[in-house]
This record gives sequence, C-alpha cells and structure tokens, in this order.
Amino acid sequence: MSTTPKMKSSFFLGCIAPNRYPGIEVATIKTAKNLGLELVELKGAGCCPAPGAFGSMDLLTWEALAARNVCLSEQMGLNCSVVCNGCYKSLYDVNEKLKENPEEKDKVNKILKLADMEFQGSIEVRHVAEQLYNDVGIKKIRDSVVQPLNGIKVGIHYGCHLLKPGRDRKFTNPEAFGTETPRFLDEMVEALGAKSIDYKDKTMCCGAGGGVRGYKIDFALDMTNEKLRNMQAVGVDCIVDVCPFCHLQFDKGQAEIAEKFGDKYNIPVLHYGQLLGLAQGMSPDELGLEAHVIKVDSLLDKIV
Amino acid sequence: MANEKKPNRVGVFICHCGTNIAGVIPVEKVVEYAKTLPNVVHAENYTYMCSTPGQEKIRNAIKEQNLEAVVVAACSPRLHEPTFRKASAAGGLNPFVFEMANIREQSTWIHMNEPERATEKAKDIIRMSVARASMLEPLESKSIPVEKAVMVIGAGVAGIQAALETADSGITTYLVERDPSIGGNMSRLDKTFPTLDCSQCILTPKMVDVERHPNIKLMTYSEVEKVDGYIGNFTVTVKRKPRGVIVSGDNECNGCGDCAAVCPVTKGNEFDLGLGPRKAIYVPFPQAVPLKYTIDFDSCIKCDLCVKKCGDKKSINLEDKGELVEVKVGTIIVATGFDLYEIEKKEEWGYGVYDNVITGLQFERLIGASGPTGGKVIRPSDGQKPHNIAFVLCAGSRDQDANPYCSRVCCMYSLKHAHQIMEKVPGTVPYIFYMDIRAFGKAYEEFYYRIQDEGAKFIRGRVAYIEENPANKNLIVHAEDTLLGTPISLDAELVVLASAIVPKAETEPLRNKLTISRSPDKFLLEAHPKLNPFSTSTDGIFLAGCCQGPKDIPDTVAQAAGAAAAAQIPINQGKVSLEPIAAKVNDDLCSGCGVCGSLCPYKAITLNEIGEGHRRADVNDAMCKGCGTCGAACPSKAITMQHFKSDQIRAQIAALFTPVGGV
Amino acid sequence: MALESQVLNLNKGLVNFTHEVEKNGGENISVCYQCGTCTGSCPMGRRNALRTRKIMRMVALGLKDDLLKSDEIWYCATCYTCTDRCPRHVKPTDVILALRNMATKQHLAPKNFLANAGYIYQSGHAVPNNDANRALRVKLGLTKDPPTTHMYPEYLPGIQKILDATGLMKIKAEMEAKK
Repeated sequence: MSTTPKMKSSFFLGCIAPNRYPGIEVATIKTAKNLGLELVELKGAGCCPAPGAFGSMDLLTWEALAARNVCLSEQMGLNCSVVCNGCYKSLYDVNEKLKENPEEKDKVNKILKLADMEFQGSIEVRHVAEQLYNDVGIKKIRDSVVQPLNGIKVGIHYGCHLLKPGRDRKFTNPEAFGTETPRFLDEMVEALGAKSIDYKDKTMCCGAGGGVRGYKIDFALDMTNEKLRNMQAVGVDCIVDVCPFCHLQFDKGQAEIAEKFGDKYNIPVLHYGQLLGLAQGMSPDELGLEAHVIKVDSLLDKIV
Repeated sequence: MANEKKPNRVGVFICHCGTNIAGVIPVEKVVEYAKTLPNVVHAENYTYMCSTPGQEKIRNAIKEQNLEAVVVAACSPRLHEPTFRKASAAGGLNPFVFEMANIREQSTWIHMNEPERATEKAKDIIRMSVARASMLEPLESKSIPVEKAVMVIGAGVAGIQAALETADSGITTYLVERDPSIGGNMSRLDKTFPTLDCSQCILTPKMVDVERHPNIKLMTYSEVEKVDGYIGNFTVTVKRKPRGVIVSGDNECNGCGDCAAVCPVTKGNEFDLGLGPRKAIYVPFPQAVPLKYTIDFDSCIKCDLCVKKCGDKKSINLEDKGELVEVKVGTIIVATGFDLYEIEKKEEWGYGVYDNVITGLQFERLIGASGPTGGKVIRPSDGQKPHNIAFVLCAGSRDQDANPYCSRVCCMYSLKHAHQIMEKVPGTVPYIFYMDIRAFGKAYEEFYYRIQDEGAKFIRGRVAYIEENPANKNLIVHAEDTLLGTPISLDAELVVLASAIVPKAETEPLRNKLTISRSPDKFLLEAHPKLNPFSTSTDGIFLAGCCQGPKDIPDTVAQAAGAAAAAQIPINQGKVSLEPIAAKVNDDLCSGCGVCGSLCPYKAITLNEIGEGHRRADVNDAMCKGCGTCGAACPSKAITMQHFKSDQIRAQIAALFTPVGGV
Repeated sequence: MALESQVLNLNKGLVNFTHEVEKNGGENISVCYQCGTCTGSCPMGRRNALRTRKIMRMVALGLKDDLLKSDEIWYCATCYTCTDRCPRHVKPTDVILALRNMATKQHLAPKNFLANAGYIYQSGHAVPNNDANRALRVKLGLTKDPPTTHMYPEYLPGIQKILDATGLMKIKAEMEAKK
C-alpha cells in the first residue's frame, strides 16, 4: 500500500528538457497544475543517466546513478514523475529491478553509500503523460480546454521506452498502452479538439536512442527522415511527442536533415505538455515555442 | 479402538536387482539385519525377486514358515507391487498383507556414491516396512457391475471413429454433439494431406454409418450438463438444446429447406467461420448428419413464416424449450476437438483489423467447392483473386506470449494450401514463411519435396510484422530471410495465418464435470504420455483426438480406436474390481457434521439422512481414491483409511526414530 | 600464395559465453531459435549492416572477440521492438548492451560515449546547460539553472564518487592517454 500522495510528485527534469527545451518544463508544470497534479521541485538531480548513451558503457554505474536520482525523491516521500521516455526507462526500470532483486539492491547500495545515499524502494516512478491519462482522466483533460485545437492534424510519436518491452511494463490498461497499437496519446490529443492521424510505421523509433545520435548521426537522421516522410504523406500539421530526446531529434533533426539529405519538411514539433498548454489557453511564448528550430507559426494560424 | 490382534509373522525378501541394489549395499548383511527385527521370522535375498524363481521363493516361504505378511525390499511399488501381491496371493495370503520397501529408487539409485549411508537408509526403510507389515490386515476387493453402454462426447472424426468401434462391438453408444451436425473440423476441410483426398468424401461414409448404426444413439445439438457416478456406473445428464425442429418420430423434419428459403433473418455461418451467411433456421452444410434443420433462437424473431411454410408437415415447434435426458453408461470417451487460437491477440499481424488477413481454416472454406465462394479463393476486401499469397507458419505457436507448443498440423496443411492454390489458379505464387518445416508422418517429407518441386517459395524467417497498404488493402509482410541474412519485405495480396490450435473452450467446464485433469498447455491430461495417451487418470474416462493434444487425422483415428478398445474392457468384463484402499466410516462415531463430504475431491462422500434430522457419512467405494483427506479431517475420528490406518502409520514412524535390531 | 581458409572453426568459440551474456542482462539467449523476428522488426537493419539475429547467433557460438570488435553492435538505437516481439523471450537489445559493456571494458567503446561520462562527471548532466538556454529559461520565468546539480553543485561530488567507484572514469582516462 503506497503512502505517497496521488496527485503530487517530485518532478525529475532530465537534461534535454531543462537545458535545451525549457518550454517543455514550463508547459508540463503549468498544465499539470491546471489539472490538479502538483509537480514539486526535486533538488540535486542529474542525468538520469541516458539509458543508451550511458548504459551502453556500464550497466552497474547506470543503475547506481539512476538509483541516486530515485533516492532524492524517496527522501521527499514523493513519487517521481518524468517527462521523458529515456528518463522513464532509467528511473522506472532501475526502481523496479532493485525492488525485486535484493542482491542487486545491495550491490547498488554499496556504491550509493559513497554518496551518502541508500535506496529504499519506497516510491513509484511515473511518466507525466501516463499520470494525466490514468490519474487525471480524459474527461478532466477535455474539460480544461479553453482553446479547442480546431481539428489540427497531429502525427503522434509515442517513442520507445515508455511502452517497450511490453512484458516489463505494468500499466493498468494494457489495451491503451499496447506496444503494437497504443491508443492513449491519441485519446489525449483528441480530447484537446485535435485529430490524431495514423501514418505508416507510426510506432517506429525516432532513431536518436542507444547513443546512435552521438556515434552515427546519419543512421539516426535517416530514421527520422523516414518518419517525417511518412507523416508528411498523410498531411500532418504537427508532430506531438512525450520525450524531449525524440523532440530534439524531430525538431533540430529537420534542420540537420535539410542540410545533409536535402529533404525539407517544416513540420512543427510539440511535446504533449506544450500542445496541452495551447489548448488550455497559454500563449506560445509562455510555452517556449519560439525557441524551436522549426517555427510553429503555421500551426498556430490553424488553431486560432 | 483397541487392536488386540497379534502382530503378523513377517517374511522379508531382499532383491539384488542385478547390481542396481547389490552393487551399492551389502545385501547379505542387510538380510542378517532384517532377521533381528521384531516379528521377522524369515529373511532371504535373491538376484531378481520379480522373476519366476524369485516369486517361487515367496510362495514357498509363506507355506514353510507360516508367514502372515510379506515384505519385499526392492524397486518402486509402482513397478512391482501388483507382481508381488499376486505372488503372495499364490502363496495363500491376502494380497493386501504385502508391503514393498523401496530401497532402489529411494536409496541405492540416488545415493550410489555413498554406500555406507545408503545401507543405513535401506535398513531404516526395511525396518519401517516390517513395522507396518506386522500390522497389515487382509482386505477384500469388491466388484461392481458395469452398465453396458458407452458415451462419446464430441462427434468429430475422433468421436465418430470411437463410436463406430464400440457400436460395432455390440455396445450401445451414446454419441453427444453440441453442434447441429456431426463431422467437426474435418468436415470443414477441402482436401487432406498428403494424399489430397477430399475430406468430405472420406468422412461422409463414416457419418452416414453413424446415423444408420443400430447401436449408436445420436444426440446432436446436445451438451453434457452433469456427470454423476463412477466407472461402470456413470449417470450423465444431457441437455438437448432447444432446436425448434422435430428430428425423430412423427412430424420428423425431412430436410427440404423450404423454411430457410422464407426466413428473413441472416447471420454469419459458424461453419464457414463467418465467411458466408446462414438463416436463423438452418442446416450448417449440405452433407450435415442428421440432415435436419435447427433454429438459432438467439436470432430467431418468431415471425412464424417458417411454420407457415412447413405447413402440414408440422416439423417446427417455436416453443421448444429443449429437455434434459438422463443416460446411464459404463465408460465415457471425450473427443471434444479443437478451435483456432484467437490470433487477433497477436496485433503485429493485423488479423481482425486488415481485411485480407485470414486464418488457415478460413482458407479451407474458401478453397472448398462446398464453401461460401464455391471454391474461389478471393480477397475479402474486393473479391479479387490474389496473385500471390503469404502463408505465415507458427502463428501463435511455439510462442511464449501465445502458445508455447507446436500445433503439429500447420506445416503440412500450409504445404497443402500452397499446392492447392498453384493447381487451382496457375500463376498464383505462394510464399511460405517458416521457422522449420515439420513433415514427420508417412509420406509427409515426400509431400514437402513435391510442393517445393511444384514451385512454392519458402522463406526461412518468422514474420515480424505486417502492414496494410491503405490504397489497395494489400499487405506488406516483414521478416528476415535468415538463410540470406537480409531483412525482406513482400507485397502480398492475401495473408493466411496458420493459427495455433487450442482445445475447444467448452472442454474446460466439461472436464470439471468429469473430474479429469488438464496439462499446463490446457489440453486434457493423458494417463501416461508415452504408454497411455488415450486414458485419463480417472477410471472409466478416455480421450481421443485433439482434445488431448494437436494431431493430424491418422493419429486422431488411431487414438480414437485405442480409446474405444480401452473403453470396452470394463464393459466386456461385465464388472469392475475396486481396490479396497478406501475410507471406511464407523457409523457409531459419525456425527454427520459433513466436513468430510465438503473436502472430498472426488465427490465420493454423501451424507445420508437416517431419520430425525441425523445424518451419517457414506463413502462410495468406487469413487473413493483413498487420498486420506476425510480421514485426517474427521473431528470424531470416525473415518479409518483402509490399508493406511493411523496405528499402521504410527508404527512406521516409530520404527524410523527408534532403531531396533543389531548389525 | 595459398588461399586463406574460409572455414570457421567452431572450437574457437567460447563455450560459456552465453552464460556470461545471460549474467549481464541478456537473459534467455540460450533458447534463441533463430527465427529472425528481431532482424525483421529492426528499423536500423533496414538501413545499415545491423543484423540482430546474426549477433544472437554469434553469441550462441561464443564468438566473443569478433563481437566486441564489431562496429555493428553500436548501431542499435535500443528501440526494444525486437525484445518486445521475441517469441522465446530473448532480449536482443539487452544482449547488445551487455556486449557493449564488455567492449567498453576492453576500451573498444566509441569516444562519444565516454565523452558523455565526462560531461556527467563535470556537471551532473550529459547535456549541460548553456548561456543561450539560460536566457530562455529566465524569459520563461524559470530559474536560469534548473534545480539539478547545476543549481545545487553540492550534489556533484556524490555523482563523481559513483563514477569513480565503478572504474568507468579510469577506462576513459586510459583510453584518452593512449591517443
């Protein structure tokens, strides 16, 4: 039985959101507040650490650093909310593994001792998008809309680490959170008055993960290019994601793709928090949209 | 209850079992030890006690030494308890004053590297057995008469074969089938591998034999509602579901079909797996046996048009409520068959979402001349002929997320499908996506050769996922050609999933009514996987066909004949002998509390009224398996377990903890 | 000159390599039946030389050296589609991560990975804050640095101790020294 409050969590920021796309940070905090979900400042967190770019080198170090972040939230007595699929994998997977495997927990705690920390296994790790769907609910999200999104066509990108591998996830509604045909984000986008458009290979990865963006950026961009091509083919007005790394890959990536491959798309990219913010009546500036590489003006024109 | 009976004079026979026992422990020394045990008046050893001379020794010693109980220290009772019980009986003793001491499986085999400790353990085991043997009492086996009838549940090819065998032997056979017609899945097939016989052509003669057989009482559109009793004396309550049509006697339906012609309600035909229509009053397929109409009251709107059309024949009764029929049989054969796995659960292949993804059984219905398209394989989306077809093998089989087992028949029927489409529509290219091709049976590998020779394409790679092209509803099949080591894609106009086969859903509630077990893979559990796949561990109930595990038609028919042979044995013997290892209620001590009855896993205990609101427990010897649950639970200690009485067990335990005897 | 033998002698395979991989997260690799669902699902395999199933095969045969030296094991984006679909519950993604861990111990990881460890050591973040972003944060009404190790550098030594304790920074230093 959890003694942690339901509608209040610590907010684990990760790296890309606070340090490259702070609009996502603001949007998430404000929109969650409007829906009764309080996201409280978490002090002293660091990189989750990146499951691909870092975990590839040493899994024990990855576990220890992730556990350190979870400990910070344990010390607050709050569940820990993330806004990024990569952070979700690091914190959720390590949290579950150490809870279930006492030997591994001891191994990690020996290392954490050096940082004066001890992993207890007393909290849950959640992704804000999943909290909005399950704890807040579609109806409340719909009711919070003051600026319906006028049927704009959204290409949803679910990302990878939130849902996969399905066997290692314990969502209460597996149909909406399935790995082959997930529906929960589609519902959340349509609740805002937008239209979710299906496209070829919708559940495909953006290509950035696993350290590939750092090591072989052409491979990563080629994957992103395939996704953009598929989305453009069905005429999406924007891309909506729930992971700042995918967000970066699609946003900055379009500029990189234009330069390397010559393909130009100009499709605005929004994190779900930012889309929700627009629907809740916040201004584009408030949501940090001006800082995006791909300008969102064309999209905003369609909404008003 | 004071037992002042004198302890038995015990004879101990220690077997060498070749070197299995003698190679680990010093048997002669153990014999000397046995001689020092209380109540042992004779002890000897021999190389093979189970042999004829070995058994002779038991018989002779009983006579010469006036033995009253025998202990054989050898292998497991599961092997030779019956042998030595017979030997003791041959020597003039009651077979139940015999005790086996397992010093092989429980000592020399498992402790073969520690001979001293194995020897001590063997001595302990023998000492315990002697203590028990000295207290064993003679028991008499009872016989009960056997009802001369068999019930076969399920009338697919397994049930049909089994029923014909028992009926031909002269035994009244009740054949119960839940569908309106017999025939099962085999009647849905077009051709059978590897001979490419027309399935209906080889099955229909048997179906007609069933209908005509004087010894077969066919009960179609019926289900088993309740099963009481035990081997030799089962009472089965069969629910004849409301058919709405008279099938026998006066006003019997003659199958003319005038009613269906005027019926305004159309539904998907279950026989055609939804690919074709039927009316609310219908016959599932033209060769149905019996050829009588059936009303699906779930969709019937009671418009009376059929009744009016039937006219003077008066074969339709819309007020039919069905009936319950009680049938007494001696043995039961379960042959409830299979269904296909719900392959829509494997979302990566799009069944139920993409129009042109179908199952292997649906392909059978399409390619069969008596099917909904008259034998034309066409795409559901546009009715066009596919120029190429992808066959996906192991769909939902060999899969930890679906069914871990192999479904056995799909490799062969997919080869058959590939052959059929190449023959019927020259130019159509079949692509078979496989992990292995399992062509295990007679002429099966030769059939595989033939299909390769005829030009089917084989890709060794499990299909990873399938996409649909929204423009033309074609499918894009993604896999790796593992033999090339390259990811591949195929534009396919039709995809056929060789879905896993699973036992029919209704098998689960049925098996609970019969108290038979199932294996972890959900198929019904056989008595022994190698030596007895056609029986269950419940006496008198047998298995035939795919309800016990996936198999092709030859294996189904062979197993059905085996089940029929086994089911006839108690009936031919006329009586069944009951092992007297059962619970016995002391009427004086029983307070009628009912705790025993509520705990008995075999429903063997009834509480009988004996006037003035008093009850007493009554154990049915035939159903009691001697498990001991009631004996342990009885608060009045009114129940003794024959052959496992409390004082016998206590003597064994005491013998373990207080070593006596020397050497 | 004589031609080089093309025959792969299986005796050179490490017999217990599957156990080593299983202990490091690659569970069930021994029951892989080479169906190819992983490669068939792999988005990278469609555009580069990554052949997931082949990597599993090489693990089964114990070809550790060839695997750790290969470039392909670094092409995987860890999308986990293969792991999600594997019918034998093999975890190809985690097998690849285990191989990458082993390669790192042998100083075979590409430099960009080790650089991330460096950034985390210095700042706590693999992607640290910069001035342009600070200006944007302030404009959005946030603190110029997030309340992470950036704003609370007293948490950084703990992170550094962890990174030092497991030997990762040592590997990084040794690799850089060799250049």
